Amino acid sequence: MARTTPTYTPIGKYAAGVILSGLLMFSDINYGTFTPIRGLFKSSVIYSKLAVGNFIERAQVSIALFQNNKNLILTNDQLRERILKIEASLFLHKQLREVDNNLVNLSNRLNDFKGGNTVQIFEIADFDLKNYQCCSFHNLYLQNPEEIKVNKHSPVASDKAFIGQTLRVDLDIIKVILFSDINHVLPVKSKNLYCNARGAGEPLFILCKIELDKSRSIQLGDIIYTSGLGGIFPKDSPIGVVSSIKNIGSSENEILIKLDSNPLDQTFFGIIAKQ
Amino acid sequence: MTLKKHFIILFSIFLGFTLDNLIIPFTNPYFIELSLGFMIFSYWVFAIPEKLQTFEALIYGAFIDLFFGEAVGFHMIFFTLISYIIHVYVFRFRLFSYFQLAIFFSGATTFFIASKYLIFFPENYSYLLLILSFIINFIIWIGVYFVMRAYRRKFL
Repeated sequence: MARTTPTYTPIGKYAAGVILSGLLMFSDINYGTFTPIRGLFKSSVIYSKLAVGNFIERAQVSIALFQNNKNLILTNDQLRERILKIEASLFLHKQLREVDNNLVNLSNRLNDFKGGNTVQIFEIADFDLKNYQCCSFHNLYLQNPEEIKVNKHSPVASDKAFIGQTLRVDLDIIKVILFSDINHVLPVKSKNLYCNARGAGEPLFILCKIELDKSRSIQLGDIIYTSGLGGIFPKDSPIGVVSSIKNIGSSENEILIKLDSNPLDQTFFGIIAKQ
Repeated sequence: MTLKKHFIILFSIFLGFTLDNLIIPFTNPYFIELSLGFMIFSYWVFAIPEKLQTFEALIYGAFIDLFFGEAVGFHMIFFTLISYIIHVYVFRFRLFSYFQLAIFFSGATTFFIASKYLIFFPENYSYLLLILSFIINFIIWIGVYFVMRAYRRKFL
Protein backbone atom coordinates (compact mmCIF):
# COMPACT_ATOMS: atom_id res chain seq x y z
CA MET A 1 0.00 0.00 0.00
CA ALA A 2 1.29 3.43 -0.86
CA ARG A 3 2.38 5.78 1.91
CA THR A 4 0.62 9.10 2.39
CA THR A 5 3.64 10.82 0.87
CA PRO A 6 6.68 9.53 -0.95
CA THR A 7 8.94 11.25 1.62
CA TYR A 8 10.69 9.33 4.34
CA THR A 9 9.51 10.81 7.62
CA PRO A 10 10.62 8.59 10.50
CA ILE A 11 8.43 9.29 13.51
CA GLY A 12 11.16 8.14 15.92
CA LYS A 13 13.32 11.25 15.53
CA TYR A 14 10.33 13.55 15.90
CA ALA A 15 9.01 11.67 18.92
CA ALA A 16 12.46 11.88 20.53
CA GLY A 17 12.51 15.63 19.79
CA VAL A 18 9.10 16.14 21.37
CA ILE A 19 10.02 14.09 24.45
CA LEU A 20 13.31 15.97 24.88
CA SER A 21 11.57 19.35 24.49
CA GLY A 22 8.85 18.28 26.91
CA LEU A 23 11.43 17.33 29.54
CA LEU A 24 13.24 20.65 29.09
CA MET A 25 9.99 22.58 29.39
CA PHE A 26 8.91 20.62 32.47
CA SER A 27 12.21 21.26 34.24
CA ASP A 28 12.17 24.95 33.29
CA ILE A 29 8.58 25.58 34.39
CA ASN A 30 8.82 23.62 37.63
CA TYR A 31 12.41 24.21 38.71
CA GLY A 32 13.46 27.29 36.68
CA THR A 33 16.44 25.34 35.26
CA PHE A 34 17.02 27.73 32.38
CA THR A 35 15.92 30.96 34.06
CA PRO A 36 19.49 32.34 34.37
CA ILE A 37 20.26 31.58 30.70
CA ARG A 38 16.98 33.10 29.54
CA GLY A 39 17.72 36.10 31.76
CA LEU A 40 21.04 36.61 30.00
CA PHE A 41 19.46 36.36 26.56
CA LYS A 42 16.62 38.68 27.57
CA SER A 43 19.12 41.22 28.95
CA SER A 44 21.14 41.11 25.74
CA VAL A 45 17.94 41.80 23.76
CA ILE A 46 17.19 44.76 26.04
CA TYR A 47 20.74 46.11 25.53
CA SER A 48 20.28 45.81 21.76
CA LYS A 49 17.01 47.72 21.99
CA LEU A 50 18.67 50.40 24.12
CA ALA A 51 21.53 50.69 21.64
CA VAL A 52 19.08 51.12 18.76
CA GLY A 53 17.11 53.63 20.88
CA ASN A 54 20.30 55.61 21.62
CA PHE A 55 21.20 55.64 17.96
CA ILE A 56 17.76 56.95 17.02
CA GLU A 57 17.92 59.52 19.82
CA ARG A 58 21.30 60.76 18.61
CA ALA A 59 20.01 60.96 15.06
CA GLN A 60 17.06 63.01 16.29
CA VAL A 61 19.38 65.34 18.22
CA SER A 62 21.52 65.80 15.12
CA ILE A 63 18.48 66.75 13.10
CA ALA A 64 17.41 69.13 15.85
CA LEU A 65 20.85 70.76 15.70
CA PHE A 66 20.15 71.81 12.17
CA GLN A 67 16.90 73.30 13.31
CA ASN A 68 18.57 75.24 16.15
CA ASN A 69 16.42 73.40 18.68
CA LYS A 70 19.05 71.09 20.13
CA ASN A 71 19.74 73.04 23.31
CA LEU A 72 16.08 73.60 24.03
CA ILE A 73 15.29 69.89 23.60
CA LEU A 74 18.20 68.81 25.76
CA THR A 75 17.36 71.26 28.53
CA ASN A 76 13.74 70.22 28.40
CA ASP A 77 14.64 66.50 28.59
CA GLN A 78 17.09 67.09 31.42
CA LEU A 79 14.56 69.09 33.41
CA ARG A 80 11.87 66.49 32.85
CA GLU A 81 14.21 63.71 33.96
CA ARG A 82 15.20 65.70 37.04
CA ILE A 83 11.57 66.26 38.00
CA LEU A 84 10.79 62.56 37.63
CA LYS A 85 13.87 61.61 39.66
CA ILE A 86 13.00 64.10 42.39
CA GLU A 87 9.39 62.85 42.56
CA ALA A 88 10.47 59.21 42.89
CA SER A 89 13.18 60.13 45.37
CA LEU A 90 10.79 62.23 47.51
CA PHE A 91 8.33 59.38 47.84
CA LEU A 92 11.00 56.92 48.89
CA HIS A 93 12.61 59.32 51.35
CA LYS A 94 9.20 59.84 52.91
CA GLN A 95 8.82 56.08 53.24
CA LEU A 96 12.28 55.72 54.74
CA ARG A 97 11.55 58.51 57.21
CA GLU A 98 8.51 56.59 58.37
CA VAL A 99 10.64 53.48 58.72
CA ASP A 100 13.09 55.60 60.75
CA ASN A 101 10.34 56.76 63.09
CA ASN A 102 9.28 53.20 63.72
CA LEU A 103 12.84 52.10 64.23
CA VAL A 104 13.26 54.44 67.20
CA ASN A 105 10.98 52.19 69.20
CA LEU A 106 12.16 48.90 67.81
CA SER A 107 14.96 46.50 68.52
CA ASN A 108 18.51 46.52 67.19
CA ARG A 109 17.54 43.96 64.61
CA LEU A 110 15.39 46.50 62.79
CA ASN A 111 18.14 49.11 63.12
CA ASP A 112 20.35 46.68 61.22
CA PHE A 113 17.74 46.56 58.47
CA LYS A 114 17.93 50.32 58.06
CA GLY A 115 21.73 50.44 58.30
CA GLY A 116 23.36 50.25 54.91
CA ASN A 117 20.11 50.74 53.00
CA THR A 118 19.85 53.57 50.56
CA VAL A 119 17.49 54.83 47.89
CA GLN A 120 18.63 54.43 44.32
CA ILE A 121 16.89 55.72 41.22
CA PHE A 122 16.94 53.61 38.06
CA GLU A 123 15.72 54.34 34.56
CA ILE A 124 13.46 51.89 32.83
CA ALA A 125 15.16 49.62 30.27
CA ASP A 126 12.21 47.64 28.99
CA PHE A 127 8.59 46.87 29.79
CA ASP A 128 7.12 43.46 28.98
CA LEU A 129 4.11 45.16 27.39
CA LYS A 130 3.03 42.05 25.51
CA ASN A 131 2.37 40.01 28.63
CA TYR A 132 1.24 43.04 30.65
CA GLN A 133 -1.66 43.75 28.29
CA CYS A 134 -2.73 40.19 27.62
CA CYS A 135 -1.51 37.81 30.21
CA SER A 136 -0.73 37.22 33.82
CA PHE A 137 3.05 37.75 33.91
CA HIS A 138 3.84 41.42 34.63
CA ASN A 139 7.50 42.41 34.60
CA LEU A 140 9.58 45.47 33.90
CA TYR A 141 13.33 45.85 33.53
CA LEU A 142 15.54 48.62 34.92
CA GLN A 143 18.98 49.75 33.82
CA ASN A 144 21.78 49.58 36.35
CA PRO A 145 24.80 51.00 34.48
CA GLU A 146 26.60 51.95 37.71
CA GLU A 147 26.38 48.33 38.87
CA ILE A 148 24.82 49.23 42.22
CA LYS A 149 24.30 46.17 44.37
CA VAL A 150 20.60 45.40 44.32
CA ASN A 151 19.29 42.57 46.43
CA LYS A 152 16.63 40.12 45.36
CA HIS A 153 13.20 41.07 46.76
CA SER A 154 13.97 44.77 47.31
CA PRO A 155 10.95 47.12 47.19
CA VAL A 156 10.49 49.09 43.98
CA ALA A 157 8.51 52.33 43.89
CA SER A 158 7.37 55.02 41.49
CA ASP A 159 6.68 58.60 42.54
CA LYS A 160 3.29 57.67 44.02
CA ALA A 161 3.52 54.23 45.59
CA PHE A 162 5.31 50.93 45.65
CA ILE A 163 4.77 48.98 42.46
CA GLY A 164 6.63 45.68 42.95
CA GLN A 165 9.86 44.06 43.99
CA THR A 166 13.13 43.04 42.38
CA LEU A 167 13.35 39.49 41.11
CA ARG A 168 16.81 39.04 39.67
CA VAL A 169 19.72 40.90 38.04
CA ASP A 170 21.18 39.78 34.70
CA LEU A 171 23.96 41.73 32.97
CA ASP A 172 23.09 44.80 35.08
CA ILE A 173 19.47 44.68 34.01
CA ILE A 174 17.16 44.45 37.04
CA LYS A 175 14.03 42.37 36.58
CA VAL A 176 11.07 43.64 38.60
CA ILE A 177 7.90 41.68 39.30
CA LEU A 178 4.86 43.97 39.55
CA PHE A 179 2.12 43.64 42.16
CA SER A 180 -0.39 42.75 39.44
CA ASP A 181 1.63 39.66 38.36
CA ILE A 182 -0.33 36.54 39.23
CA ASN A 183 2.69 35.05 41.02
CA HIS A 184 3.15 38.03 43.33
CA VAL A 185 1.64 37.97 46.81
CA LEU A 186 1.57 41.12 48.94
CA PRO A 187 0.36 41.23 52.55
CA VAL A 188 -2.03 44.20 52.77
CA LYS A 189 -4.41 45.74 55.27
CA SER A 190 -7.06 48.38 55.66
CA LYS A 191 -8.90 49.37 58.79
CA ASN A 192 -11.00 46.20 58.64
CA LEU A 193 -8.94 43.87 56.50
CA TYR A 194 -5.78 41.83 56.67
CA CYS A 195 -5.02 39.59 53.73
CA ASN A 196 -2.43 38.32 51.30
CA ALA A 197 -3.30 40.04 48.04
CA ARG A 198 -2.35 38.13 44.92
CA GLY A 199 -1.80 39.81 41.55
CA ALA A 200 -4.96 39.66 39.46
CA GLY A 201 -3.05 39.08 36.22
CA GLU A 202 -4.72 42.23 34.96
CA PRO A 203 -2.99 45.64 34.80
CA LEU A 204 -3.32 47.70 38.01
CA PHE A 205 -5.30 45.13 39.99
CA ILE A 206 -4.61 42.79 42.90
CA LEU A 207 -7.17 40.72 44.72
CA CYS A 208 -7.90 39.28 48.15
CA LYS A 209 -10.10 36.32 48.91
CA ILE A 210 -11.61 36.50 52.37
CA GLU A 211 -14.41 34.95 54.35
CA LEU A 212 -17.87 36.41 53.92
CA ASP A 213 -18.38 37.58 57.50
CA LYS A 214 -14.96 39.28 57.59
CA SER A 215 -15.68 41.24 54.41
CA ARG A 216 -18.95 42.82 55.60
CA SER A 217 -17.24 45.87 57.05
CA ILE A 218 -15.22 46.57 53.90
CA GLN A 219 -16.48 49.41 51.74
CA LEU A 220 -15.79 50.39 48.16
CA GLY A 221 -13.10 53.09 48.10
CA ASP A 222 -11.41 51.94 51.32
CA ILE A 223 -7.70 52.74 51.21
CA ILE A 224 -5.42 49.70 51.24
CA TYR A 225 -1.98 49.84 52.87
CA THR A 226 0.99 47.51 52.99
CA SER A 227 0.88 45.58 56.23
CA GLY A 228 4.65 45.04 56.42
CA LEU A 229 4.03 41.41 57.37
CA GLY A 230 5.97 40.07 54.40
CA GLY A 231 9.17 41.67 55.68
CA ILE A 232 9.91 43.36 52.36
CA PHE A 233 7.78 46.51 52.28
CA PRO A 234 7.53 49.03 55.11
CA LYS A 235 4.09 49.00 56.71
CA ASP A 236 1.32 51.59 56.30
CA SER A 237 2.26 52.68 52.82
CA PRO A 238 -0.91 53.29 50.74
CA ILE A 239 -0.97 51.23 47.56
CA GLY A 240 -4.54 51.39 46.29
CA VAL A 241 -8.27 51.39 46.97
CA VAL A 242 -11.01 48.77 47.08
CA SER A 243 -12.52 48.77 43.62
CA SER A 244 -15.10 45.97 43.82
CA ILE A 245 -16.37 43.27 46.17
CA LYS A 246 -17.63 40.12 44.51
CA ASN A 247 -19.21 37.03 45.98
CA ILE A 248 -17.41 33.94 44.67
CA GLY A 249 -19.05 31.21 46.69
CA SER A 250 -21.24 30.53 49.66
CA SER A 251 -18.57 31.56 52.15
CA GLU A 252 -16.05 33.71 50.29
CA ASN A 253 -15.76 37.19 48.83
CA GLU A 254 -13.23 38.48 46.36
CA ILE A 255 -11.98 42.01 47.03
CA LEU A 256 -10.53 43.67 43.96
CA ILE A 257 -7.99 46.40 44.75
CA LYS A 258 -7.03 49.04 42.19
CA LEU A 259 -3.41 50.10 42.53
CA ASP A 260 -2.57 53.81 42.81
CA SER A 261 0.51 53.83 40.66
CA ASN A 262 0.53 52.93 36.99
CA PRO A 263 4.02 51.71 36.00
CA LEU A 264 3.31 52.65 32.37
CA ASP A 265 3.26 56.35 33.35
CA GLN A 266 6.77 56.30 34.78
CA THR A 267 10.30 56.42 33.44
CA PHE A 268 12.20 56.33 36.72
CA PHE A 269 11.78 53.95 39.61
CA GLY A 270 13.34 53.85 43.04
CA ILE A 271 14.74 50.81 44.79
CA ILE A 272 15.77 50.54 48.41
CA ALA A 273 19.19 49.05 47.70
CA LYS A 274 22.40 48.15 49.48
CA GLN A 275 25.15 50.79 49.22
CA MET B 1 22.25 23.71 3.70
CA THR B 2 24.85 26.37 4.44
CA LEU B 3 25.05 28.28 7.73
CA LYS B 4 24.27 31.49 5.86
CA LYS B 5 20.95 30.06 4.70
CA HIS B 6 20.13 28.99 8.23
CA PHE B 7 20.79 32.57 9.37
CA ILE B 8 18.53 33.92 6.64
CA ILE B 9 15.71 31.61 7.75
CA LEU B 10 16.28 32.24 11.45
CA PHE B 11 16.38 36.00 10.84
CA SER B 12 12.93 35.91 9.21
CA ILE B 13 11.52 33.84 12.10
CA PHE B 14 13.07 36.27 14.62
CA LEU B 15 11.56 39.16 12.71
CA GLY B 16 8.16 37.46 12.89
CA PHE B 17 8.34 36.99 16.67
CA THR B 18 9.63 40.56 17.13
CA LEU B 19 6.69 41.90 15.12
CA ASP B 20 4.34 39.76 17.23
CA ASN B 21 5.75 41.35 20.37
CA LEU B 22 5.28 44.82 18.94
CA ILE B 23 1.77 44.26 17.60
CA ILE B 24 0.18 42.16 20.36
CA PRO B 25 -0.17 44.99 22.94
CA PHE B 26 -2.40 46.81 20.44
CA THR B 27 -4.42 43.82 19.20
CA ASN B 28 -4.92 42.03 22.51
CA PRO B 29 -7.58 44.40 23.91
CA TYR B 30 -9.65 43.30 20.87
CA PHE B 31 -9.05 39.59 21.65
CA ILE B 32 -6.76 39.10 18.69
CA GLU B 33 -3.39 37.41 18.90
CA LEU B 34 -1.14 37.02 15.89
CA SER B 35 1.61 34.49 15.64
CA LEU B 36 3.61 35.62 12.64
CA GLY B 37 6.76 33.90 13.92
CA PHE B 38 5.08 30.51 14.06
CA MET B 39 3.49 30.99 10.63
CA ILE B 40 6.84 31.99 9.13
CA PHE B 41 8.48 28.85 10.54
CA SER B 42 5.59 26.76 9.17
CA TYR B 43 6.04 28.39 5.79
CA TRP B 44 9.74 27.48 5.69
CA VAL B 45 9.03 23.84 6.50
CA PHE B 46 6.28 23.82 3.89
CA ALA B 47 8.54 25.44 1.26
CA ILE B 48 11.76 23.47 1.83
CA PRO B 49 10.78 20.35 3.82
CA GLU B 50 13.85 18.39 2.76
CA LYS B 51 16.11 20.99 4.40
CA LEU B 52 14.24 21.61 7.63
CA GLN B 53 13.78 18.49 9.70
CA THR B 54 13.80 17.48 13.37
CA PHE B 55 17.21 18.89 14.28
CA GLU B 56 16.56 22.25 12.64
CA ALA B 57 13.12 22.49 14.29
CA LEU B 58 14.68 21.83 17.70
CA ILE B 59 17.51 24.32 17.26
CA TYR B 60 15.27 27.08 15.88
CA GLY B 61 12.77 26.39 18.68
CA ALA B 62 15.54 26.59 21.30
CA PHE B 63 16.67 29.98 19.95
CA ILE B 64 13.14 31.36 20.00
CA ASP B 65 12.59 30.00 23.52
CA LEU B 66 15.73 31.70 24.78
CA PHE B 67 14.95 35.07 23.23
CA PHE B 68 11.17 35.25 23.33
CA GLY B 69 9.77 32.31 25.30
CA GLU B 70 8.38 31.86 28.77
CA ALA B 71 10.12 28.49 29.16
CA VAL B 72 12.74 26.55 27.20
CA GLY B 73 11.12 23.67 25.32
CA PHE B 74 7.77 25.19 24.40
CA HIS B 75 8.63 26.40 20.89
CA MET B 76 10.86 23.36 20.44
CA ILE B 77 7.85 21.06 20.93
CA PHE B 78 5.55 22.97 18.62
CA PHE B 79 8.16 23.49 15.93
CA THR B 80 8.89 19.76 15.97
CA LEU B 81 5.20 18.83 15.86
CA ILE B 82 4.29 21.17 13.00
CA SER B 83 7.42 20.08 11.19
CA TYR B 84 6.36 16.43 11.46
CA ILE B 85 2.80 17.08 10.26
CA ILE B 86 3.98 19.16 7.30
CA HIS B 87 6.55 16.52 6.34
CA VAL B 88 3.98 13.75 6.35
CA TYR B 89 1.47 15.65 4.23
CA VAL B 90 3.80 17.90 2.24
CA PHE B 91 2.84 16.58 -1.19
CA ARG B 92 -0.83 16.57 -0.36
CA PHE B 93 -0.45 20.24 0.64
CA ARG B 94 0.97 20.96 -2.80
CA LEU B 95 -2.45 20.09 -4.22
CA PHE B 96 -4.29 22.36 -1.82
CA SER B 97 -5.75 25.70 -2.83
CA TYR B 98 -4.65 28.88 -1.04
CA PHE B 99 -7.94 28.76 0.84
CA GLN B 100 -7.31 25.23 2.13
CA LEU B 101 -3.72 26.08 3.04
CA ALA B 102 -4.87 29.16 4.93
CA ILE B 103 -7.37 27.07 6.90
CA PHE B 104 -4.71 24.50 7.82
CA PHE B 105 -1.99 26.96 8.79
CA SER B 106 -4.27 29.33 10.71
CA GLY B 107 -5.77 26.29 12.48
CA ALA B 108 -2.28 25.10 13.44
CA THR B 109 -1.39 28.61 14.63
CA THR B 110 -4.57 28.84 16.68
CA PHE B 111 -3.75 25.47 18.29
CA PHE B 112 -0.29 26.84 19.10
CA ILE B 113 -1.82 29.98 20.69
CA ALA B 114 -4.36 27.93 22.64
CA SER B 115 -1.62 25.66 24.00
CA LYS B 116 0.46 28.67 25.00
CA TYR B 117 -2.43 30.12 26.97
CA LEU B 118 -3.30 26.77 28.56
CA ILE B 119 0.27 26.15 29.70
CA PHE B 120 1.40 29.62 30.75
CA PHE B 121 -1.67 31.86 31.17
CA PRO B 122 -4.70 29.65 31.92
CA GLU B 123 -6.44 32.60 33.66
CA ASN B 124 -6.44 34.51 30.36
CA TYR B 125 -7.64 31.62 28.18
CA SER B 126 -10.54 32.75 26.04
CA TYR B 127 -12.50 31.06 23.25
CA LEU B 128 -13.36 34.46 21.79
CA LEU B 129 -9.64 35.18 21.47
CA LEU B 130 -9.10 31.85 19.70
CA ILE B 131 -11.96 32.33 17.25
CA LEU B 132 -10.97 35.89 16.36
CA SER B 133 -7.29 34.92 16.15
CA PHE B 134 -8.18 32.07 13.79
CA ILE B 135 -9.99 34.46 11.45
CA ILE B 136 -7.21 37.08 11.52
CA ASN B 137 -4.44 34.50 11.12
CA PHE B 138 -6.39 33.00 8.22
CA ILE B 139 -6.30 36.36 6.43
CA ILE B 140 -2.70 37.08 7.39
CA TRP B 141 -1.45 33.68 6.20
CA ILE B 142 -2.06 34.70 2.59
CA GLY B 143 0.17 37.75 3.07
CA VAL B 144 2.81 35.75 4.94
CA TYR B 145 2.83 33.15 2.17
CA PHE B 146 3.46 35.63 -0.66
CA VAL B 147 5.90 37.82 1.28
CA MET B 148 7.91 34.80 2.42
CA ARG B 149 7.88 33.31 -1.05
CA ALA B 150 9.36 36.52 -2.45
CA TYR B 151 11.91 36.58 0.40
CA ARG B 152 12.89 32.95 -0.26
CA ARG B 153 13.31 33.51 -3.99
CA LYS B 154 15.46 36.56 -3.37
CA PHE B 155 17.73 35.27 -0.64
CA LEU B 156 17.82 31.45 -0.86
